[in-house]
Amino acid sequence: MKKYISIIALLILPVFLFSQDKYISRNGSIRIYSQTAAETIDATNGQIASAIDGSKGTLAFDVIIKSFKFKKALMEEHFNENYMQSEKFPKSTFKGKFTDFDLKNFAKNGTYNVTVDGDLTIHGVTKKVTQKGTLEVKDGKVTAKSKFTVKVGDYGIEIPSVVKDKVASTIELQVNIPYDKK
Amino acid sequence: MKKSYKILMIIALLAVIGGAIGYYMYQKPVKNFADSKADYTLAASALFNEFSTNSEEAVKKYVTADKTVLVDGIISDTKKNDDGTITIFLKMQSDDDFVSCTLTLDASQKINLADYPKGKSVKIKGQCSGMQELIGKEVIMIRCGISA
Repeated sequence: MKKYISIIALLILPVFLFSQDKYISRNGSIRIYSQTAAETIDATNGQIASAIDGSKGTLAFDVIIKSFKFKKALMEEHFNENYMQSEKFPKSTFKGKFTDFDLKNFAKNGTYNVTVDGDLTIHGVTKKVTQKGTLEVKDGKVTAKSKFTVKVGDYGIEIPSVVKDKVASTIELQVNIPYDKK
Repeated sequence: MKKSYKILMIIALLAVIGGAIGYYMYQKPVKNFADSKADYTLAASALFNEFSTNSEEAVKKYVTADKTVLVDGIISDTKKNDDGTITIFLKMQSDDDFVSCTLTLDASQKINLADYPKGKSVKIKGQCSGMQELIGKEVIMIRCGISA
């Protein structure tokens, strides 16, 4: 009998590990990318803070705009001063929930498709968004990945007509967050 | 005839110089913070306190102005990131708070992590990009180098 109890305990342990523990990351990365015939914009921010609360099925991000690293100084300056106004809006945030979150799904190693619903705030403008992504579970390590596009006009970011051929109206975001158990 | 030719030459010359300056400005790489002279030298905990008490002012002072900041502090943790860079977390009063300093790839490849154990004091120079408040509080330094 004792043996069975310990076997059952072992089987359900991973579920509880995920449900009770919070997963956090301070070194996630988001790459922004846009390409037009005249110009490629490519910058990476490797200092994304993110948290998953397993018991609530919630996901949150804190993105410091000034941490996006460009190669060209002028492009970085324009990104911060003209488009994102990073002094006024130093961060972008996301707060949401996994829509199809079932704890049992994440007990085993594997890559799982997930959908997240929530509020995305960029440039001081908050929009409801639904995004798809994956959660990779490997030996207790969790990595979230997603790739989606953002229409800059939706967030009150104006692209002057003189640079319309250089700056695309939609920007691709590549998200990659390795989590640690808290 | 000769005069207008001269003027034309001057205009052409100015255009070439202007174009060259424009091209140079356009191609100019981002400032090398790790190797610049420090604009501010202070304890990591002092920088943290400035952000903690008035982040708006601190953003204006350090972040928007692109100042080179040199901090000294005690290592609480180090981490190797997916892109090969190293982040050194400096200890604050609360265990949830940090000043994190991510080294340039170049600086990361130069150091041996074993030389940077917990508890060691270290001086790091780089660019301060702001503070996240999702997981504790973390003042973020990027493009850093170890400063002697």
